[in-house]
Amino acid sequence: MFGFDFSWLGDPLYQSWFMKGLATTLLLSVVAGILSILIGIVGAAILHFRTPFLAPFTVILIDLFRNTPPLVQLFFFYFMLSDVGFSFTDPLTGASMPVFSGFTCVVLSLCTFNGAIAIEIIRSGISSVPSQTVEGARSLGYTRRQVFLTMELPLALRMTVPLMTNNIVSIIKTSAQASLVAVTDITYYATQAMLETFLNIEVMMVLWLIYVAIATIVSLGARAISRAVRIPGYGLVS
Amino acid sequence: MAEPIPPIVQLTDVRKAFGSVEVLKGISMEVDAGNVVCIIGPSGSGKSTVLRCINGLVSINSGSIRVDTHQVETLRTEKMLVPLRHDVSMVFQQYNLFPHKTVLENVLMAPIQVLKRNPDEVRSLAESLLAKVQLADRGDAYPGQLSGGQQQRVAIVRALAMEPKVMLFDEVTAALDPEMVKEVLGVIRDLANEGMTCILVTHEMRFAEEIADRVYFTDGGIIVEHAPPKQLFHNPEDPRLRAFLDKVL
Amino acid sequence: MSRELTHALIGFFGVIAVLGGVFLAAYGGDSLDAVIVLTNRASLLLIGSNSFDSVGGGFLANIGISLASMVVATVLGVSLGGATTAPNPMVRNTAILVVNLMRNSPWLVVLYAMLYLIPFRLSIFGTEYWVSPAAKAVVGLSVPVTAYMSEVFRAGIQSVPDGQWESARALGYRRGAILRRIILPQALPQMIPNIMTTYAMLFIGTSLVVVTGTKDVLSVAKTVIASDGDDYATAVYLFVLLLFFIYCYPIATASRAIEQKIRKAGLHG
Repeated sequence: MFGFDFSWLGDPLYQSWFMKGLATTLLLSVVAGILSILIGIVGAAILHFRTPFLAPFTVILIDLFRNTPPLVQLFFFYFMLSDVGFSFTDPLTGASMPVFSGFTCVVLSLCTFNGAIAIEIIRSGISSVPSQTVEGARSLGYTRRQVFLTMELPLALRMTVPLMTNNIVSIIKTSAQASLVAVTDITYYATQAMLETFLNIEVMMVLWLIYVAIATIVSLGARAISRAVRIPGYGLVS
Repeated sequence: MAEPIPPIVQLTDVRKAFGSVEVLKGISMEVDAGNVVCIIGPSGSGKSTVLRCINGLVSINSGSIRVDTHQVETLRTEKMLVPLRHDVSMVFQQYNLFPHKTVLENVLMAPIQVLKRNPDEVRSLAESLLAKVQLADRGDAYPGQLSGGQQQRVAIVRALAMEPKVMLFDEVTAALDPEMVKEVLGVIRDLANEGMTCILVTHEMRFAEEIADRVYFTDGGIIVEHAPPKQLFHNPEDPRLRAFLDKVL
Repeated sequence: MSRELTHALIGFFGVIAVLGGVFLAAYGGDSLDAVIVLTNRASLLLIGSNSFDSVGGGFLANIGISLASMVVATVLGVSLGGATTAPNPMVRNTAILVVNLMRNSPWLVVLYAMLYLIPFRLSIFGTEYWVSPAAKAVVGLSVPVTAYMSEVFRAGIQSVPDGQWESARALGYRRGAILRRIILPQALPQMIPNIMTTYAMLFIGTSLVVVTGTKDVLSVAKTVIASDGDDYATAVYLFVLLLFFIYCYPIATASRAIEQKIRKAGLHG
């Protein structure tokens, strides 16, 4: 096929590399994905209730993390926090493990960049809840907190599924930068495989296909979720 | 006895489906040059689609449409449709003026850019047409600065500047406030009196009765009844038409 | 102007204050030393040379690469975006597939791929060209950004009501002329904020070109840290964060302001 050599795909070593790397990439994405949604909810709540001190601080952090590259954030965390040097004892192996490992720093950098975006997504969802809905609930005696928890937040989450999906896909793609701080994700193993096989283009094609496949599966899954939680007669926020 | 003049617009058994929904189920219709024909009927009966088929905005599945010398169903490309669109102009419910162009530019654009007419000639034509609809002083305004009635009059002028043989009006007063309906209908009345061939889809029954040479009533994609207005409005035969007129009159 | 500008300024100086606070917290009594290191290396990080009279890369390289990529992505994105709205289903579906493939590719992987796909030497009409890492970076960044730009154009085209197409067709205009004369002039103002946001995203993405071996700001930062010692890594990266922020924040803020202005105008007009 076009003179490409994909025989290395049959090698159990490379297969195990790709599987291990894929597991790390998925773990990174799941952890960072869940955390980013939580950050989004908490951040949006802080901004919504205009919590003193916290709200302006949150705005400033969003401005910082949205307007700087996640890669630079990663390098920054990686170098600064490795100096801090907290460590814990791994209950399984008994070895001393640094709290701020490369893995943690990658999750952190994904949470800051994509978490900031998640806050803005949920906030835009909340602001598109019709004021009549809020007024209606308030006139029934709901407190602002109750209105937020029972109306605005659930509605916002349901309406912003497509935007949140884009953000999760962005996390998956951005997680490839883990390889640059020696976290053994799929991109890391792919670069290792290139060094050994010299089949750069072939390895890159496989890697690229895997990412596209993950992103496509997530998008399709999210579309199903979006359809399931869609409120009849209610639009989506885009 | 003189040879009868063939009608300028002739539809024969026109059928059109959008996906699995058949909108036109065999429409036949004739319009003589200089006549005014009104199409009435409940919404969703395919009235607007008939107009869009006549100027080729919508392609038909079967049947034939002839406008003057154009056999519309044979015009497959946008390029082939250009001469037809020279002869048939259309005015829309939502005016559809180009918001980024002034009133005068809206009128001048197509004759100059599409028909390649001489800009000076088009300009003097446009100015006289605008004067005719009492908008001579609004040539430099943008559509967004005009009222709905004014915009619709500009849209009529824009269509007339193509110097068509047939004008199609698609519910042109439906989006207007009541006090603006009159000024637009007045313009159409003048056109009709000057002998322009007009085909109108309208909900203004009184206007249809006053102006039309013939009225077609459509329901469910077919023409249920057609007759001169006096007969159609005052002696309706089909029960569906009677029910419709009871509701709207 | 007043309120938005105030907010923007609070954000701008607030972030700088936070970065400064982290700097002081990290270096404490050694802060002055760190400042001196940064001052000595500022020109290297900014323009890639030790003195300000010659240019060799650094943050300026990121700007250059981003501008070049933006031009490429805009040109290709217009055609691709037009193709995604084409009446021919074959053309349309192929274009949509290509856009989705390009959009779902990690930027880093695309950059790696370009590194190996594009040869070091290119021979065009018998003339040998040396393909610089920066050129590869431009091509690599253009791939995902082309997809984003095509989406921006598609959304812009679709923001114009269907009636405009219909009336233009009724006046005898053909598809190309309708796009050029009627749709795009109306869609372009709507697209400006999205174009600016895409550019800001592209600029943030230029941090990744460090893997292509250009003399971009992160490569220079790594060199500086290697020669001045790991102790100053935090300071150097804070400085790089500051550079990106100062460049991207005004673009993002302005694009949001323009978007709100358009939205308001749309409500009243």
